[in-house]
Amino acid sequence: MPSSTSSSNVEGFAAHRAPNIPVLKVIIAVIALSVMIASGLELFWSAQGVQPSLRNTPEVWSLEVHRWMDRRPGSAPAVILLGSSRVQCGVDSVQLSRELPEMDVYNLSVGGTRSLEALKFLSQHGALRAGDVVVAEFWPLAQLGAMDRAPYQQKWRLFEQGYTNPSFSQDIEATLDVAMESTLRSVHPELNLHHVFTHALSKRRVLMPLETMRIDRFIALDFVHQEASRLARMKSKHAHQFGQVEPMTADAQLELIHEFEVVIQEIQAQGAKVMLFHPVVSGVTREREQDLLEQQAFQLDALRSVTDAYVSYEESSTMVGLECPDEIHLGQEDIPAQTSYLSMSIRKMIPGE
Amino acid sequence: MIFNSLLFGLFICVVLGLYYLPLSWRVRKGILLLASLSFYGAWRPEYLLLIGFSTVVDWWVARAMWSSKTMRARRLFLLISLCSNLGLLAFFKYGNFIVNNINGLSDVLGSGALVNMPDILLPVGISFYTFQTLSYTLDIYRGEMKPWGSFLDFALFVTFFPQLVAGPIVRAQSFQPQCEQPRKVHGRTFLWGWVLFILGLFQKVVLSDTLLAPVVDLVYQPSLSPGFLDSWMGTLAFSGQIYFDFAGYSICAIGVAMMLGFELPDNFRSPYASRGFSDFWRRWHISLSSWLRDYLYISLGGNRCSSARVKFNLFMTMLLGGLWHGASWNFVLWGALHGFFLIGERLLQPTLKTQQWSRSLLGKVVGWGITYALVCIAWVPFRARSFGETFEIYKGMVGLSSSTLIGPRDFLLAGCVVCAMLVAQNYTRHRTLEEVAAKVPVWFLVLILVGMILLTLTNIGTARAFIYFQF
Repeated sequence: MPSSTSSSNVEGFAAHRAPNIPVLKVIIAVIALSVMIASGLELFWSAQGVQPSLRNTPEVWSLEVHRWMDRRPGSAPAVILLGSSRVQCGVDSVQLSRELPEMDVYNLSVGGTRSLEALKFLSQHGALRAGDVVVAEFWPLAQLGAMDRAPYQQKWRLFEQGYTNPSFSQDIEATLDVAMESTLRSVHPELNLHHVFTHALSKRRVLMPLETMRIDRFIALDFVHQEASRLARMKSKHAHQFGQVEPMTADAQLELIHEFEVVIQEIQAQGAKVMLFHPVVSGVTREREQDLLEQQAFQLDALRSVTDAYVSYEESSTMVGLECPDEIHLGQEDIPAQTSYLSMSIRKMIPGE
Repeated sequence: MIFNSLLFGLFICVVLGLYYLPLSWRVRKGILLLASLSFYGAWRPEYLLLIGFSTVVDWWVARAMWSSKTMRARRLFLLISLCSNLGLLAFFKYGNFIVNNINGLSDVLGSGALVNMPDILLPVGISFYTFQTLSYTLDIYRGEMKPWGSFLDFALFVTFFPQLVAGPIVRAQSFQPQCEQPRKVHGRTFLWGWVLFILGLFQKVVLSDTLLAPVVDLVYQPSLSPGFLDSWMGTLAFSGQIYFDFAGYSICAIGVAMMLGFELPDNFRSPYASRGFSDFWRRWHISLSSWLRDYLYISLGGNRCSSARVKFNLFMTMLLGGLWHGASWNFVLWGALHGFFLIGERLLQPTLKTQQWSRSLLGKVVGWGITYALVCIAWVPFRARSFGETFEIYKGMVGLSSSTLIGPRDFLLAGCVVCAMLVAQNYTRHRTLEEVAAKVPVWFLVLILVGMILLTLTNIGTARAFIYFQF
């Protein structure tokens, strides 16, 4: 740079150098070949059983928030699902809508977050109505255990900003992305070049995606087609992460429970009901959670007393029998059972039922 | 709106459709101006006011300066332009940085936080368009050009959407003639523009975001101490990531402009094939380095002063060039390192010129290797988020940490991409892309284009925003 002042002008213009190529032939050949190969790729993934999947982005979440906030006056009461990936992957909103035809279901859960932040968001936006049911995940191990809340809060803020601080064209861009991703299998987030290439290099077989997110934001987890080694890694990671969680200090617990109580009461004051939902866990994580629950029964009772319902998998013999292949998430084949159990519990909360 | 989005795909189709209608040149320029404002407004419409302010002030200042009779008046108008443009930059880009430093200093002195500053969103492209308009008023001040006669043309120059948010920084002297004559788009230039756009997207989406960024993200994490191999591979991968990201954007911009019949200057010329740092800065972000050379380095005295002063000028130019990239001491450190490298090269040059071996193949390879290694070492503070993280990576690079973060497959993949990039850049050191393409059979070019389109489309989901948008 500066020492180049004595050199000749370094600027050049590609426009002057455009090579002489047969324009029409190249454009037609490129478009025709691209369409043919892309169609072949689509057919290949379709034959493998791959379904189109959306990316789980703040923009798509924001579209769902808008859908909830922009409800027409007099529309059906809402069931709003809040929580982590255990709700997003654990409750099929289409099935829930089918089983609760008198209600509209909105899935605002976000993987990697906790429901307290989501409850605060809901209580502050004034879009709740009488008759709405808020289903918030309550995972005692993660809520009452001594875990760093900062990463969960950070992830929540990222999604919340997608709604509170959007770019002008965000919704249009998200709608276009959703339209493409819900149509084409080749743009499945788990089938990107990096994953497919590294997998094919080492395993010499086609990679099957684990997660498939539908337009209603439900994520179906396909553990069946995953390799045993991958499953074992996931299981051991979660067992390590949650199997040794220590309880919070008594003061921290009281503070947390108080935060829950305040926000639940704010939501109830707006006429909505709050259900705390404790989805299935398995293996070492379940054992650790049961230990913790025995020690923390008092705090949990305090929380139960302010909610309209507390629903745990432990109260149903069917649910207790379900297994999470990675310790904390159910596979897609077990989702109907958990969803039915939840819809039954919600039905009990509806007046007149 | 970003190039790697579906919305841009629709936008450009509509713009090209309207622009090619058989309308008067003035109306077609009006369409481009409206398109540019929509492109920018799609992000935050309220920030159109800023770009409008910058445009109106510099338009008025340039005319007033030109008609001024005295040097004093010309200086006053130049000062107005400098204050308004640099003032915008200082407030929106450096406001938080300055306030944080003042508060940090007062904390150290024990007097607590002194100033409160609301969180301000950095207007995208502000560093680029302020430099562009500044170059116009500086050229008028120096008597190198006359003020433009058409406000429409000037507004189009400031807001021209292909290069508005991340360059190349265009000079008024090269853009003005293009606005005066109706642009004719030939099939050959349209096709080449389209090819460049696809190549740019491929570099950004596939090479930068999909293949290299995940490896970089593994290594550059707060509170981790990567080992020797990881630190080096993460940094080499970042050298590729930032090149493909930024050069990819520039190529897209040049390609889109070409489809509209406009010519934008080259911004990169195989920078990692450089032998020496002055060579590097003639090849990396050319539009910025030539801007800094012409308006900052020369204003400081350039080469026409004492040896010590020349070195000071070099160092200051690089330091401010570093700060231009972002409001952080890490960017200042990056600029300072390049300043030291340029000074070191200047000190060594007389000795090297007398050495026969430095002109041999071995000498050239050694020169290239040292330049690339030092450029990579300087990338560390540029990528790291803090001095602490920078220090951890440097520790790893000299073998003082031992943790392994990158798996063997990722290591191999990133290594292959970086090696291919270096081989390709050394091959094109004295060749242009157009020369290479002209020698390739048409069927092979078609296959490459199809491959790039399919890989880009199937990986578009992993795309991130362009790194240089934050500058």
